[in-house]
Amino acid sequence: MSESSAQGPPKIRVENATKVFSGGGADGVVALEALSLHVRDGEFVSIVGPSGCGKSTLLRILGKLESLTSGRITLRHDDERKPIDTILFQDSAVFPWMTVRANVEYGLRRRKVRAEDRLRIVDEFLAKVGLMRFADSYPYQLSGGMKQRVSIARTFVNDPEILLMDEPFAALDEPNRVLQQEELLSIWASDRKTVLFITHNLEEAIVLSDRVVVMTARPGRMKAEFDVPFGRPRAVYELKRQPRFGELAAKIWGELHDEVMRARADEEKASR
Amino acid sequence: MKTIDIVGHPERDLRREQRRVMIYRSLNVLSPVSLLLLWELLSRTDVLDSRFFPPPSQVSLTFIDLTFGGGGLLGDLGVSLARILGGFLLGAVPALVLGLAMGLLRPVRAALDPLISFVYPVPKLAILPLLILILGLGEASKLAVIAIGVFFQVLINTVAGVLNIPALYFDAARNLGANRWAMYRTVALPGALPTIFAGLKIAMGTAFLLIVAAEFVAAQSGIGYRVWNSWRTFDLGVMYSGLILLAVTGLVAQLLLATIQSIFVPWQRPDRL
Repeated sequence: MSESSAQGPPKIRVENATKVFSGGGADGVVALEALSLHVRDGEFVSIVGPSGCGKSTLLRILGKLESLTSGRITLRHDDERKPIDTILFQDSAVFPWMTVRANVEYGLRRRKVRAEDRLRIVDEFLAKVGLMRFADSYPYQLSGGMKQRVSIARTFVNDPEILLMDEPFAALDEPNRVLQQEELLSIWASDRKTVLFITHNLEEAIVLSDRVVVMTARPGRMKAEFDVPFGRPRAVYELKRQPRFGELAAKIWGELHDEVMRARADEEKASR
Repeated sequence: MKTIDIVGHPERDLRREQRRVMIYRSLNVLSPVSLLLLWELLSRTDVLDSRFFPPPSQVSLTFIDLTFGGGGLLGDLGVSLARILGGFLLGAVPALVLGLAMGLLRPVRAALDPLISFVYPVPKLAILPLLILILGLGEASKLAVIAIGVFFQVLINTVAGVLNIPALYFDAARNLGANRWAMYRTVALPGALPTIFAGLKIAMGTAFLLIVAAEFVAAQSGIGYRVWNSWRTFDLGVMYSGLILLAVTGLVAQLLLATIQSIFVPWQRPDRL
C-alpha cells in the first residue's frame, strides 16, 4: 500500500445504509437498517453475522446488483481505467458453458481489452492459480477447489480497485478452504487491493482480515468491530495455533453468539 | 459364541457384474427379435389373419422392393422430409428468438404469457382446416401446421430454459460488465441450450406426427398420403413399408439432433446428453 493512497477519504464509505425488500406486500422486510461503515484504501475487512443479517445484501448493493433504499454509499474511484469493484462469488458462479480460459477472460472481453493483452494477463493469472494445463477444460471436468480457483482468477484478472467477496469458500471442504485462503492471501499481497469479505466463518474472518465487523441479526446493523493485530504474511494454520488467536476468536464469538441466538429466536417466532 | 466373517471376493464381484451387463444387453436384442418371430409364426400358421398382418419376412421384401426397387416410396419420403424441415425451421427459429426475449425481459413475458397459455393447449391439427382455408391445399398449409406446432414447443422450452438458469450467473455476468446484448449471447442462450435441445427433440416428433396427419387428409403426395392411400386400397405391404420408413427416419432425425447437440453443447457431461 503506497503512502498517498492510504490517506484521503475512505475507499468505501457507507452512511446509514438501509435496504427494504418490499416483496410486493404492504410491509417489507428490512434487510439493512442505518448501517455505517468505513473501509480504508488497501484494507481487508471481513463482515460476520448470523445468516439472514443482510451482509450479502450490503455486498450486492456495493456491486450494483441491488438498489439502496435510503442512506448513501460513496466509493472512491482513483483510476477510472479500472473497474471500481468486482465480486468474487462461490465456485458455483463459474459459467459451465465456457472453458476455464473463457471464464477467466470474461471481464476483459466485456471491457474490450485487446486480444494479445488479454492472452498475456489471463496466462499470468492461470499460472498463478496453477490452472495453466486446464485452460481449455470445461468446469464439469474440474473439482470444486479448482473451480474456485477459476473464480478467483476471473475476479483478479478484472483488476478492480475494490474486491467484494461473498462467502467464496463456503462450499469447500476444510483442507481445500485453508489452501484457498492462503492462495487468496498470496495473490492479494501482490497489490493489496481494498477487500470487503462476507463470511459466516469467524476463524476465516480473523485469518484473512485487518479488521472484523460483527453485524446484528436482521435488520442488519453494525454491532462491534475488532482490529486483527497479526502481521503479514500469515500462514493460516500457524496463526490458528497462537493463543492470541483463540482470545480474539472468543471475544468476537461473544458478540456473534448473542446475535445468532436472536436470529434463531426470530426464526422460531416466524415459523410458529 | 460364534464369529461372523466377511471376506472379499474380487473375482466373484467382477464375474457377477459382467454377467449382469450380458443379461441386459441380450434382453435389448432378444425382446424385439422374439416379437418379430412370434409375429412371423402366428401369421404363417394363420392364427393372425395374414391379409391384415403379413409375416415380417414378406413385409421386409415388399419394403426393399418399394423403397429401393422403384416403388417410389423414397420419393414420397423426400416430399415429406422437405415439408418437415421447412416447417421445422419456420417454427423453431422465431420461437428461439422470442423465447429468449420472453425469458430475459419481464415485460415481454407479461405481455405474451396469457396469449400463449391460451393458444398452446389447442391441438394444432384442429386448426388445419382453418389453415387450408387461408393458405389453400398446397405446400403452404402443410408448412404452416408444422411450423405452428414446432413453434410452441420450442418457445415454451426456451423460456423455461432461460428462467431455470441460476440467477448467480446473471449476477456474475452483470458484475463483470456485461450489457444486455452480452447477457443474451453469453449467459441466456448457452445456459438455456440443453433445455432448448430437449424442446427441439420433442418438436421433431411433433413435426412427424403433424405431417403424417396432414398428408392423410389433404395431400396427393408424401409418406403419410401413401400410408393412408394404401390402407384405402388395401395394399397393406405399402402401408407397412411406409410405417417402417417413418420409424427409421424418425430415429435418424433424433440421432442427428443429438449429434448437433453434442457439437453445440460441448460443456455438458457426455452421459447427460
